[in-house]
Amino acid sequence: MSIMKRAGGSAVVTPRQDIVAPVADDLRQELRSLLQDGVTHIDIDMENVDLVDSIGIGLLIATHNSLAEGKGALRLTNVNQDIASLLGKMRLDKHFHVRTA
Amino acid sequence: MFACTCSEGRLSIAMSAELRNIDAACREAECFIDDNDLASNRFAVLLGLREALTNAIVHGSCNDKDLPVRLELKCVNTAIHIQVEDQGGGFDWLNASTTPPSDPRKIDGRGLAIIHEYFDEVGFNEVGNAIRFSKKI
Repeated sequence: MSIMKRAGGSAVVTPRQDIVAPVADDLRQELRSLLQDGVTHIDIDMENVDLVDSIGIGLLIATHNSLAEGKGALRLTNVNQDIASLLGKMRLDKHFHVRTA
Repeated sequence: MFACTCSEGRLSIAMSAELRNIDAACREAECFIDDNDLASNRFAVLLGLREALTNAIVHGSCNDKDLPVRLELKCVNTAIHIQVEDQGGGFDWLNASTTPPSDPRKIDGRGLAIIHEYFDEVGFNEVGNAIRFSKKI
């Protein structure tokens, strides 16, 4: 379970582990509940995340897509250099708001 | 099912096609990385493993626990070699895209592109149910 903080229409989600296939469904449920609750801006604090795989990337994209439809946004913070580089190689570094650690 | 064999410069794993076994395989791979002085390649190796294993479990074995997935890591001279094999029918790897989707909103289709990005050589057996990839270290 991630650490979640709400403030009106914004939320900060801090996963406790890597965003990878075996645990993606759990994080998906958490993010979905925020969206259903009317949250429009989500910060995902990646301080505990050392690695994101393609399933994790897909989840981040899906969340971003949903938020963007409602004129909201997804932001990734405390992203390590390896993950930032991966997002760049996948041409996603300009698609997401990314703040490195 | 999860069976692991480790010898000098080689790690072999046979596991049932369950996503949770990917974490166990990566824990063994981390020990292999440490034992073989591969720390500078940790991210690439673990990421490549996760991509290959996820594809094998989800697409190859269709999450069927009775269809085992096999993994081998070898450290030979100045390169690391990885092979992942499933018991599925394979796929048309010759026509599979090796680059990321041009539309950043697309949520899938990046697994193979990631492996190609981080490894020097990538290949499949004829059927397409075994992937081999390697990287100079």
